[in-house]
Amino acid sequence: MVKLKSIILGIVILTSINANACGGWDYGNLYYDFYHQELIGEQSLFPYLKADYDRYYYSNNDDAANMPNYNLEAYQFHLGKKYRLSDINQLLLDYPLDSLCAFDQAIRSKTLAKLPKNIADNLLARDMARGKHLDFLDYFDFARRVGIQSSAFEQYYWDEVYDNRDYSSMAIYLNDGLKCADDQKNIFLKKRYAFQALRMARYSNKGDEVKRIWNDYFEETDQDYIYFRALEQLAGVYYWEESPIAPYYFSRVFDALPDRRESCMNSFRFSSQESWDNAFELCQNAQEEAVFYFMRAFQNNLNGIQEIENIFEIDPNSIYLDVILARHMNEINQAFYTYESFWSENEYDFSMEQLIEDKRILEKLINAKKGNTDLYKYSLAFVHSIMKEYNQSDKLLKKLRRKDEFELRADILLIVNRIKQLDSLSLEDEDDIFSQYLSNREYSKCHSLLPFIRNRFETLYEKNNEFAKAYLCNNHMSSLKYDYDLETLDSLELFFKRDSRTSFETFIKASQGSLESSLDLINDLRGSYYFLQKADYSRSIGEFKKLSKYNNTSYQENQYYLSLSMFDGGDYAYFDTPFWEQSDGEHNNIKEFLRPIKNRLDLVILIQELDQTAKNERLNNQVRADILMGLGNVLHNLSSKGWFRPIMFHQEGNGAFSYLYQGPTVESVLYREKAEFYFELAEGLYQDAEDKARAYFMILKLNDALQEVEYANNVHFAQVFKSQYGETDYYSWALRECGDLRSSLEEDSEN
Amino acid sequence: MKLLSLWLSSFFVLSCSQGLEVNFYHWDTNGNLNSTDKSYLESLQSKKIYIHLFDVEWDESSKKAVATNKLNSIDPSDFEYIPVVYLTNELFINSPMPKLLALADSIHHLSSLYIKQALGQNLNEIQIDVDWTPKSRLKYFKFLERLKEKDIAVSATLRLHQYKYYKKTGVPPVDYISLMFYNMGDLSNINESNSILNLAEAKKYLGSKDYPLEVNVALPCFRWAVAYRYSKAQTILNRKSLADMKHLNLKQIKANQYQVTASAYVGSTFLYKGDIVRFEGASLIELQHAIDLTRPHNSKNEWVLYHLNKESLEYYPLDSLMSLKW
Repeated sequence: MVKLKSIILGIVILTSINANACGGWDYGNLYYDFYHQELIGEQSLFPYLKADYDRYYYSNNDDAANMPNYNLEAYQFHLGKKYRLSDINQLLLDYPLDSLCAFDQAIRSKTLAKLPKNIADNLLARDMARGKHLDFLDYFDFARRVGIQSSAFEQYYWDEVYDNRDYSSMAIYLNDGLKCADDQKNIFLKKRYAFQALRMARYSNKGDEVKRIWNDYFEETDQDYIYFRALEQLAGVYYWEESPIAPYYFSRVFDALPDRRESCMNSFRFSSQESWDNAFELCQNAQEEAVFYFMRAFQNNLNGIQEIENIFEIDPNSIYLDVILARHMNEINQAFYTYESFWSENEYDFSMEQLIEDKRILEKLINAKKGNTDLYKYSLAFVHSIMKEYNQSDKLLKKLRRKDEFELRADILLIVNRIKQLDSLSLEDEDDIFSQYLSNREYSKCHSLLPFIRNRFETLYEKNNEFAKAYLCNNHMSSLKYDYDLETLDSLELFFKRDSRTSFETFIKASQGSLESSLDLINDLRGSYYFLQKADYSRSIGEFKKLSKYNNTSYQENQYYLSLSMFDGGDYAYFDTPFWEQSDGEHNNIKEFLRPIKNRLDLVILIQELDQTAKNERLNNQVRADILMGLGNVLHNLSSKGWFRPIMFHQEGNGAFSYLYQGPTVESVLYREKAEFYFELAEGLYQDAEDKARAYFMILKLNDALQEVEYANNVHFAQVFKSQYGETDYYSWALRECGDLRSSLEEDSEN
Repeated sequence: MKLLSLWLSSFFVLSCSQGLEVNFYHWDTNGNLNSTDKSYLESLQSKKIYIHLFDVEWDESSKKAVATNKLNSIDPSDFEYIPVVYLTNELFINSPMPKLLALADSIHHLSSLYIKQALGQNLNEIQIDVDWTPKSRLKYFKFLERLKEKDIAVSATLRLHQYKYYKKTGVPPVDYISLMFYNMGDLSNINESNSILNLAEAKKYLGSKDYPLEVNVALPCFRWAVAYRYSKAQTILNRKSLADMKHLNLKQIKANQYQVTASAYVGSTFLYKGDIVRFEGASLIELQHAIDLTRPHNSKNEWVLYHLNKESLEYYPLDSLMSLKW
């Protein structure tokens, strides 16, 4: 039993170090996602699966890039498949208007010798040069000009009202658009011209004109892409009038045009129950009513299950049902399967009544829905699992038509069900569960079950006073979050005090995992996190030196660690100032001196060496002060704004930085205050006014970057700086470079 | 009504100590005083109205300060109007200092223009409302200093933690501060009893009385409902009472918490069956406790009630406010 658990733990350790995520954990939200978007078929509705607001709309995430361009597709459908979407896009949207006009004129005057270079490969442009589709070229030109007018919205800034709209031009384009529409034989282009005219009418606040154009050019036509674009504009007019027709039209456009969903969702508004009732009455069929429910669900922070029931009553096979269901289950999912609450059944606060209601509706759906009901069975199994009805859950999961992501997630849920019952199982049964887990290659490659094992074994080992092993389980979790708190680190140290390292190594060996990598993990944690945080550089170095990777020559070439170079981005962050360029040769020397630093070990060695040397009173004060300045620079640049930040911070996918280190020691000592302390010491040791001014300058730079300095201190500091070192270059540089403090200094100089 | 007001006024004079003032915030976009407003102001012998002129926010797309929620209209009256401008903390974090100094100039200019043109008054004082943090403090304080250069009195709102820990958080460079004695709880927590006024929590922040500036105290005279779904706060329903939500068939589950049993819209917000609605505000007794608690700290002897709004004041009948021991 112990051996088996050791094996498992070994895998935990290994996978935690080099884990390739195979889906499941949503790192942005820190929960295990049982409801991946692949579970539903309709790609254009993917954005509506995400519960987090930022990812609610596709405009800011990867889904936008994958979303088909329905407008271009409409052109392609009309012009023929031989033209690529990129050809159409280039001429319709990207090619500069001036160049487009010149191209047009050259064709018509028959002076076009050859195609301009940047559209030489454009198949549509080639055909246009041969005289084909010139009516489209005219339209592209017109649409681009109207587009410029359409983008000049009324904008309210601070104390002025801007209205960039050129009403006289818009009136001209409105008339021209209608004239072109009337003259145009091609229905596709006729409607396009009419649409541009309609846009101009709307942006000129001519609601009645919009309605007239709609009636004359769209109402009786095919419901194609441009029809719905025009309907959206018409809805905007009814929105001004607070008419119930507005939300009705917006809902229809929402349903028809995936690329207009964001806009329509924003405009789908009701001021009261009565306004909803009036608009809802306009719906012509069940599908339209289903869209209403769907849109309402997403405007009201979603209570999916009730909207599911509403939609189910009228349109049991609506695609919107799947989307809302997956979103709703994801809401529950987030409440239950976070990093923190994966096991702790008391932490969440979810209404059991709600779950019972969910179960009732899901059962009803499964019984009544035709076709594949896997998503619904899976969801019901999920609810059963949460309600600790494991047998029912298992039964449903085993009935699923297993495929792809769905299969994996269903299997994970099966394992979850079994692990959750561990307390009531015999030890042999536990082993059996983990044997199953281990024998499946897919599982062992996946993060998904690690939190279960982590929690399970952490508790187990803690009970047996096996702190390091418990710590390793816990550390797996922490490494995923890039978060080591002092309390955790203290518990690690507690182990090292109580237990022997040898026994730990024996344990690692018994686990059949990699002793080297496991010990590296511990050494790295102790060195970089524990002792560095305690400012015990000497012991920190001791731990680092035990790391196998530091003795490995290939390690030096490792791209990841090279990226940790302190000079990564350093130039723009700090050195690119007159301070370095013009005068400070001494600091350039220090810059060179720091260049070999590639990793945390080097950094710690540097800090320690500088610190110890600076304390040596046998050295002359100038040298000691220079060293202190260097030390101050190092610590300064450990901050989130410094160029050591890759060493001290983890960069998230969105570019934001989060601490690799946590705790008051790092925040208050290693950063600003300690750096300032060194600069102050240097200032005290320097004899030369320029040198002293340099120390002052550095404190200013430091405070300026962090903006956390007492206001009163700044004023006082500015006064001292000016009175004592006002003649130095550093003073003038400070005026130029130190943003917020500049005002203090300027005020002081004025006084 | 007028006679009643007169009678209440005389009673009120007897019940309050010398030099005491009870004034109001006015936070609606329509600044015209209606008869209810006037009766409260007159009966409580208010002298000042702290009138919200506009907000200034940071607009990420244009990278500019943007004025929003502007006061639309206001009729002259005999009360002294003190313009209040709310600025977001984000604005201070994102704007460069020169822009903020220019903003201070603009705010002063516009406020004096507005007060002069709309009310025929000179601008003597302005109040700035910012929920500032250590990160924005430096810029915010310099912004306030700039306003101070305009030869007007400048006051600023202050949150409870900034009051207690002023040595750590800093003291804004203003003439006096208005201690915000409301919105002190955790609105997002469904187990919070009352995020508007939680006296037990507030007591923790009222230790010594050594704040280095003069202090008046702002008290809550408003209510709202907070809606929760799956224990997560969803929305605030301003000025909505039980009566406004009758069609939701609310079922009482705690003293101030109700469960929706019929899904429907409340205004523009749709509430689902199962949602929890918590009604929050300060009862008269709680207001009296708040007054008693903060009186030793109120060195200006001035109370400012938030806020002068007909619907909000329906919960605080004039006679009940006048019966309070200030």
